[in-house]
Amino acid sequence: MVIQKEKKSCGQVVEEWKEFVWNPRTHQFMGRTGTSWAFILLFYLVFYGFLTAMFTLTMWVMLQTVSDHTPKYQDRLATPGLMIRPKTENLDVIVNVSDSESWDQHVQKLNKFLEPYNDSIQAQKNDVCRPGRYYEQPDNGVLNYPKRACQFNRTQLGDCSGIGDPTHYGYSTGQPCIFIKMNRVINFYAGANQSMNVTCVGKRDEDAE
Amino acid sequence: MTKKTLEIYSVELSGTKDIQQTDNGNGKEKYRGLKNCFEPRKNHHKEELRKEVDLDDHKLSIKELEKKYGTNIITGLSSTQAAELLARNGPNALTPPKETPEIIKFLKQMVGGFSILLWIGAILCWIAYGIQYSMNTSSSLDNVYLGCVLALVVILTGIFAYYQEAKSTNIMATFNKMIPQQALVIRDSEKTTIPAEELVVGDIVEIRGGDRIPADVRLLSVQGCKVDNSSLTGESEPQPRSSEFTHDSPLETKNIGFYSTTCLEGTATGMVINTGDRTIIGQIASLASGVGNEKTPIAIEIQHFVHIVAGVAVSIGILFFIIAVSLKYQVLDSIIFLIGIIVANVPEGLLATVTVTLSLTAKRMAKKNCLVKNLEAVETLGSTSIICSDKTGTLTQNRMTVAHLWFDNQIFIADTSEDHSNQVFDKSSGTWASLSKIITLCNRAEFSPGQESVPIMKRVVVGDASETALLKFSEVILGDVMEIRKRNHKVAEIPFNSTNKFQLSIHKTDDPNDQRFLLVMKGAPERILEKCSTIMVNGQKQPLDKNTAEAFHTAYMELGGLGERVLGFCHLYLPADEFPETYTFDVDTMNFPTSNLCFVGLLSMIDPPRSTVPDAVTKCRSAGIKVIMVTGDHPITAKAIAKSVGIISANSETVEDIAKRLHIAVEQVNKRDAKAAVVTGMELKDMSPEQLDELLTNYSEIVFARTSPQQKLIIVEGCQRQNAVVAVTGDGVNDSPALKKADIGIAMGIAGSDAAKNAADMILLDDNFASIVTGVEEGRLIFDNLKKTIAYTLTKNIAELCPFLIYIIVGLPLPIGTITILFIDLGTDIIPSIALAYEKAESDIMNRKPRHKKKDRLVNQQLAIYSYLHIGLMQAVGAFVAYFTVYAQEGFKPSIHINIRVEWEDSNVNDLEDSYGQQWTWYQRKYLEWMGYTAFFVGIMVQQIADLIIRKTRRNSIFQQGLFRNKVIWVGIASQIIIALTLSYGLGSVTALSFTMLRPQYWFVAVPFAILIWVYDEVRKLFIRLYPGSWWDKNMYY
Repeated sequence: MVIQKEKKSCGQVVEEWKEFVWNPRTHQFMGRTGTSWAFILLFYLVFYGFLTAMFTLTMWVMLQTVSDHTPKYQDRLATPGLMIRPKTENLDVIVNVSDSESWDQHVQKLNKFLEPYNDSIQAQKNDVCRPGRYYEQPDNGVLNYPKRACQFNRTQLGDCSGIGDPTHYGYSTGQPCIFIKMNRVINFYAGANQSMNVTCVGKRDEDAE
Repeated sequence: MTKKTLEIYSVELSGTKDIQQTDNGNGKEKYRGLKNCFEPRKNHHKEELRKEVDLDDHKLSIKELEKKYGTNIITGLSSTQAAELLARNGPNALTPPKETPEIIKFLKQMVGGFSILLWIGAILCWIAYGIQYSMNTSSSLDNVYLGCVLALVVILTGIFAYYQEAKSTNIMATFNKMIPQQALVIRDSEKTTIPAEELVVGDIVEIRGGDRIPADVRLLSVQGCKVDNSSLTGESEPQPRSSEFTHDSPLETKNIGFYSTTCLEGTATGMVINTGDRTIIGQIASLASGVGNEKTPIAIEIQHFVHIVAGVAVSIGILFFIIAVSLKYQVLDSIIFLIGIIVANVPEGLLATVTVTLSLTAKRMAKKNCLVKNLEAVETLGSTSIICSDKTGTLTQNRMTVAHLWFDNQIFIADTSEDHSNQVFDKSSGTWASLSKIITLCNRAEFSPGQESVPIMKRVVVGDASETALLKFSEVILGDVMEIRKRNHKVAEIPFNSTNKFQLSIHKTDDPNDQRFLLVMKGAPERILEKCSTIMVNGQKQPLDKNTAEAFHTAYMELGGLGERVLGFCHLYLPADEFPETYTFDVDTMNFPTSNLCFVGLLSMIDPPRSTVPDAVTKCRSAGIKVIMVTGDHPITAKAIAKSVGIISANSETVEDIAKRLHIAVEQVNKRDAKAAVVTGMELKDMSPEQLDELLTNYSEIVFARTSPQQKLIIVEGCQRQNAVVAVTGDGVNDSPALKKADIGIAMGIAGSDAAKNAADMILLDDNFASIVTGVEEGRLIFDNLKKTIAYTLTKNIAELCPFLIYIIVGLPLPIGTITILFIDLGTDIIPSIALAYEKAESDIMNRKPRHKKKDRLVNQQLAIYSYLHIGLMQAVGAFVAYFTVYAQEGFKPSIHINIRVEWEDSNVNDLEDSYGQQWTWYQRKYLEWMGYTAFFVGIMVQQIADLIIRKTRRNSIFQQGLFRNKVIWVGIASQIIIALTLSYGLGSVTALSFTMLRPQYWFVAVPFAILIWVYDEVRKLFIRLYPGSWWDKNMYY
């Protein structure tokens, strides 16, 4: 036998909802009395307050284990990555020699990129290092910060330095300069582990020349 | 014509005497419930019913029958004819109830529950890949993989659930496989034994006492045959059969034997007139399968829970989809977020866990003699609030047993426990010596040979119920009865018959000095007393005067009032001069005295309650379960048994009792004073549903006596109108509609018919009521434990969900991947959540009321809030700390995380700076991200250990419950750790899984939070215990 289901009319449903939202008999708002709501709010205030405090505390303790200047672990950075300049959306540098607009943006980017390497700025900010030797700046008990880098003058780049260059880093002549830069990694001794080889090949055969 | 006979059919089906007295109209009204059940299938069966109605074989002469079925009663069918008929009509067996095809069952598992959500997730994944592919043909296959993984998860959990279901159905299948029945049939003029399944219409079969009748047969020749039609009509008295046509209705006439009924004694030869589903039983069985099965309470609860979780998942998913789109994320990204949110929200492993948990309990229950057919019924038993129990066999031992003796003007109590070991009445009196002699000698029952090693009470006896009782009683007290009978040689005997109402035998005595014959007699007490002029008191003959007669009547009434069957015993030593040793006794002329005998005593017998039942009933009562007795037996007997097992408690009275005590008319009694009620089938028939409702609500102790199996259905419906979860026991075919209708139908494993077992959800292997109660206990425990399991499983969903939400809003590197989430849900969390099923009850679960179907939900608001917003959030915080720790120690301090997402995920940015100005390539970042996943995963895992421990109890302290009592919990914890270690260190190099090795210290970052969870929950439980009923209790107890 089928048990008859109680069908509720639309009006009843609305009425039930109304009573749920505000029940005048029991003075309940959304199924709770005022005191109950107050308790709930107070409880969650205290509970979440405590949880936030706990989170902050553990984070603070954790941050104590981390130094301000040297990362604790560098296992992922044993081999620094390489990056090219000019950097484009998908790392393809597409140039049409006859169309100056196609390489103009690259030139702009390179200008901007090489600006900090102007000899004058380098002399001002960085130290002169002896080539072939690591330039170490140990703390020796006193914090030695900020550390200074070795000078790298833009003029060292020769034809690609873009200084007094009518060829726009070679873009206008079809011999574009692409800069390969090594990622900065603290405490990395270049060449200590292995030497790096960079092969330059055009992406497509017809670009080979 | 058809219509009318149809009504008659259904009325007569009920068979019991009180029904016969009703006219058609009444009967129609009464079986309204039954009819309605059958309504949907009626049309379908109309054809067959019409055929049934045409059954007039009982009216035909043998010649006509032979012609009709083309057979010969001497030679039988030829085997070619039989083979032809068998091929045409099919085997003589009931078609099992139509089962859902396996493939449908399988597909149901595939789309049920959360599977739909996960399918959506998988399809979204593939759509996302499709979009990516159309934009960029070299896009990564990640989304395809994820989609496949999700689909795989659904399919695997589906297969698993299906397998579990199938396994539990298989238990049933093996149970159903019974020893094939044989039938003795005449074919080709030869008697052969063939499997009953091969019988065809027209076969001539021979039936002997003890056989099950193999098909519907028209009896042709009968020798003292009696059949037990109780499974068909509910009539418990053996029915005599003859070859004469005695009644128009095929169900009433004596010359038809029905399929599956038992022939108790005598022999008969009959012609098969219907086989298989066309038999009366077959038709009832197929009709019963039309009664719809309702959803089990646990199925409703799980559905409710799935709705809650799916609701949360979908609404959060859509909300954040909108947020993501309005935060100017690409639609594609937003879809991927949506998938993440769905996966995080859905406890993928939970439904499989629930199935395992239920089947574990089903196994445990099977050990305790409750065989559960349908896994979900495991819990239904726990929520049962009314049990409608049979009397015979379920509450009682189903064997007549001597309960009281009366001799020397005294009533003695005999031990009625299962082994009779403790008989304490006075055996020194001379009267007992005489009485015991009568009991032994005036008895035709005998033990079947070859049972010397079997305990006396379990031996098989040839003879009727009361003689069996007397035989066993005397065997226990006196020793070898057969030997005593041999020594007292029987010279003449008059067996019991209903006109004489006595049984008599004459013996030579075993005393060599005494040449007298001893005449012993037993029978209906009043008839025996009539034949007596003296009475034996303390071994001495005394004249039977008014006082002693009065004493006899008092004792007789008292024993009768206990619902017991009373027998009187008397004897006489025949004077040696009148009856010399050579005297020949003739039982037909009765050439010996049958009056002026010496009355010796009374014995009363009852089918005593099983010794475990009173405790079980008490347990039910304290567990808030109402036990209603429904029996076909006499009200007085029913009431006596109800009183002795506690269904009617010692101090409660019925209206009739009160009337008797106060010496007023029944109508004058205030009905509110009575707690108990004994209602007969006759009274029930005249009740309107409203009156029945009133009866069921007003009386806490109810006994229904003299009811037909159909009325059981009406009682069940009445109980269900009270919103009760009703358990019903039954064994007969006619019980099957009630069994189906009940929330949980319990069939008797020993006495039950196949139809009853088919209709039932559970089978009681030992037919013992007490087993139901242990089943209830298990059912309640499993409900509690499922609650714990679900709470445990739901908790980490928040910890899995928060990363996504924060990732979308704050734009930090993704803390945990979708695949990693799946490894928690289907890896580390599975065994622990099953382990909770082994948790012992916190307090005496049999001391609380059955759960309210609508109010006590499996997943209630408190559970969801506590899991999601309390423990879940703590877990999220703890896991985030682990994640930030990994990033900070590698160079990305928390402050740099904000809005790093776009650059972080851009594979063309290979020089992203961290907090120290170091530059990271995309692959290096990716690896770090996986390390974050692993750390987050480990964080959740560590806190889930704490969560597992706190979920052991809901109210008690863990230390009250005992940390180590449930060993499986520790197996679960070990499994969590081992799986996590394997994933991190073993499979850390498999890129697709996105796990990495983790520094050992990162495994402990979340430990403070795990401890916090434990402490917090202990505080919660402490306040619940300290302030029951308080605001805290109401809001924090789930």
